[in-house]
Amino acid sequence: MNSLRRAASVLISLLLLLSISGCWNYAEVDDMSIVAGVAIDKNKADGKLLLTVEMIDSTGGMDKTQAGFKMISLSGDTMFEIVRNLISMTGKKLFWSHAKSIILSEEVAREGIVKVIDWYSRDTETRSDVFIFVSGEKTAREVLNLNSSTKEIISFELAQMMRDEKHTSSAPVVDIWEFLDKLEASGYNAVAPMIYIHEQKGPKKERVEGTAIFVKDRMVGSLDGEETKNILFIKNDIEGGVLAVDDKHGTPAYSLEIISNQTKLKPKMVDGELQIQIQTLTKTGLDEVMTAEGFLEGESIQDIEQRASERLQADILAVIHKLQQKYDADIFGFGEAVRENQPKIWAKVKDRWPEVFADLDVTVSSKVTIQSSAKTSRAIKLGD
Amino acid sequence: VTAVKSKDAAMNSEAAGKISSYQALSSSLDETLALFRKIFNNDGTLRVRVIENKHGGTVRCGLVYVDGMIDRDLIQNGITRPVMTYEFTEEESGNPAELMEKIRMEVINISDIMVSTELDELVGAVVSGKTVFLLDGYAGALNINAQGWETRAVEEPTTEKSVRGPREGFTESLLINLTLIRRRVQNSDLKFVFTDIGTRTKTQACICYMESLASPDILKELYDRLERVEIDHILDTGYLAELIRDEPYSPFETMGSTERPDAVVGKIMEGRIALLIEGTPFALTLPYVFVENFQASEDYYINYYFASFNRLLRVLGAFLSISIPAGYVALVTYAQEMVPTLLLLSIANARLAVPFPTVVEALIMLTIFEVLREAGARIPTSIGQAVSIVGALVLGQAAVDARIVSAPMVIVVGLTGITTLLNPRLTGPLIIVRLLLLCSTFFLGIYGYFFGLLGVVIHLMSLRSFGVSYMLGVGSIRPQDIKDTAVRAPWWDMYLRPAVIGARNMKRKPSKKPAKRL
Repeated sequence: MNSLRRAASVLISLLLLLSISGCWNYAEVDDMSIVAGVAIDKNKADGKLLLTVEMIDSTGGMDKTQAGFKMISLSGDTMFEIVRNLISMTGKKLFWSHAKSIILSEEVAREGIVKVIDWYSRDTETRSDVFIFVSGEKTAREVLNLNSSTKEIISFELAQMMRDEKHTSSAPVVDIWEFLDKLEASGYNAVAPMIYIHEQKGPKKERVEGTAIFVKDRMVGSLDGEETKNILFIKNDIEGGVLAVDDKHGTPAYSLEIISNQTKLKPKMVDGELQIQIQTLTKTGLDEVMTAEGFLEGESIQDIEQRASERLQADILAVIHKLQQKYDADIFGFGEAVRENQPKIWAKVKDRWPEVFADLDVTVSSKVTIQSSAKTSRAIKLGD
Repeated sequence: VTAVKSKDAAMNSEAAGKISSYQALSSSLDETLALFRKIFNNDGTLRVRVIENKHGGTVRCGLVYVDGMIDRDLIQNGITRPVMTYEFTEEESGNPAELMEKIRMEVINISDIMVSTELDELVGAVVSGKTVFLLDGYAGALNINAQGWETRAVEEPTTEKSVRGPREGFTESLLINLTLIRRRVQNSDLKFVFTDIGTRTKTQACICYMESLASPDILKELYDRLERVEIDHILDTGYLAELIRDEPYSPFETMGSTERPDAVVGKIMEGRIALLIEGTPFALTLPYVFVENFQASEDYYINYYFASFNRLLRVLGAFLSISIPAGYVALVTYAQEMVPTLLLLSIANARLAVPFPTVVEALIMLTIFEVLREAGARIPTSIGQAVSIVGALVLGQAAVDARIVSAPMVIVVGLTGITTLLNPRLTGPLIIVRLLLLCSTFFLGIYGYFFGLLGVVIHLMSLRSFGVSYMLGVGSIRPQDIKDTAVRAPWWDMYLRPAVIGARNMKRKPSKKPAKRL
């Protein structure tokens, strides 16, 4: 009796298992289209959203080591509607978990991006660690369309670029979750990297450089690569890159490779006024000396350090002023810093933070140190 | 030569049973011999020999033995010649009882000799290869041990090879096997207790243990279980292992089996008990815990770093061999988002045009692998190469080319097969657990895999071997509990015997200090 009972309970448990397994997301890999990236444009003709999807085309074949790709576009009213309708074009369910990049056209970005991005962050299959870009060209899809000439999957290339971005520090690296985080935060404005098509005698190539600046969820303007680097200095996001330094005559002569950088951001009350004090300490290595004279012409390491520090300080101040006056967008997180360090003051100013930010007093003190000179301590000396 | 009577053989065995039970031994030689002939009716190997000595009065003797089980030289030189040539006096020949005593004490030249009057016992002695010596006029017999038969030489065991360590393996002869053990433990503390198992075959079995180390409770439990065994024959210790084990429905072995005397001695010295039977080179050891599946004799002979590394490899191998197919199916059919993008692309590419779902593909390939394995184990070695050619070329290469299976699946199954081979003792359980996990994964994805794995762990945790928890030492953090589990500690650090099993006398050596450096 007991064993019968036990057998029955085991059987029932197994049957129950079947019921909870019901409509699980069982799917074979070859029955789905793997999405690599997506470009979101506004359809000129009817003003609807136009989605261009870059998909992996598994054409099969043992000898084929590189995956192909194919592109499809469809317009519609909502993101999800388009995504579902795409199935009728591919015949296979689209699989979004491996998508790496979202490219928004500037037009879409300027109109406000919550409406296109909500689906992406809400759906269960999409990932929130996808990189977001704003196209600096007319449309977003033309960036993805570059794959017809490069024969590479553009979305994956962009993701790879973002991973290597720390060596150049010319664009912010923004995951979609981070972007949404900034959108929701007060005292912080969101940014996204800009993407351009670079054409210089030869095949076209995508190039990520510069920053798109958002106020609320609308893009208001952009910064170029150099300015972006200065922003990253303020945000303490510098992990590498190059500082070019002029010689004493004003011509570019030295390259300093950034080894590490530490930025301290302190909101202080000075004479009853809120002041943001920024201190940067950059350790660099002298990696290029574009002059045969070397340092012997009276140029000491200290001189170069001095000039680099002054220049960096001026550049950082310039970009802060630009953002204060031109865009009134606190993309540095000054507000956040105030909230953390001076919560009482933040309580007073948070409701009118944009106005406060525009008139904020910011001081910058930069220090650049040269720690090494790479493999050699001397310049190339010219013989006879 | 035995007279052949035209009686039904089956009927006869029944009759023999009755005779041996009820009939007393007669004092007449002819009658007794006739009785033996009757009992051994239709047995052409029975030899009945009558010898006479007429030096002083007639002394008629009879020898009964089974041909092939005896040492002929020994019988000739130890029994027939001395009895035939001895000069008995007339007085002696007249008194059978004294004569028998004299023959036993002074004439027969063989060490192992016993007096017996029980027909039962004598019949048993004859079938076990002993020689029965009868004297006319005396209602009793001598039971002389002049056994002798061909045995296989002591060779290196083929199932458990080791690069370093003794190369002796057990043979089919129980006595030789006991010798191999005794030679390694020259101590009267080592006990050999004989019993017989099998109502018809009466196979000799020997329980072997160190009296001061083995737990009396476990020993008693073993005796109890052996007593309860009901079987008519037994050909290998595998029969016994199934009959007396705990948890008879578990695929995991709860009794160890080994062909190596050094392994048996090692286990006996930890307080375990060995059980050997006549006719098989495989000895059982008990209690048997899970980690013993990963232990090889060689581990104890080589450098402990290397030994520990090998152990860890085996543990990893066992884990991989149950997890690889299930994990692959889970990742490829349920959790594609967890596969690195490029890997997913290459899997998707390879899967294209393969007609079967991934799980069917896995089942096909796993079955093919098991078929090849079984074929390799059964076929004569002379055509063994054919199997590998069929396996590698026809089923591997061609199946992928023909797009019946995908290339990643071949890798998956290949890895599974190789990792299984790391643990020859676990092959059976691993196959079963692997299929179980594969099925649960097919239904529930990664959740199903962990569900199944959890079930296996719970099952393992619930197992016991002769009262000792099967997972002994697993999960403990005390150094002396895990000294001989996934790693093998240096000998100077293994100063205690395993917990529970060696509880009777835990200390293996007095201190845990490293051996003195000379």
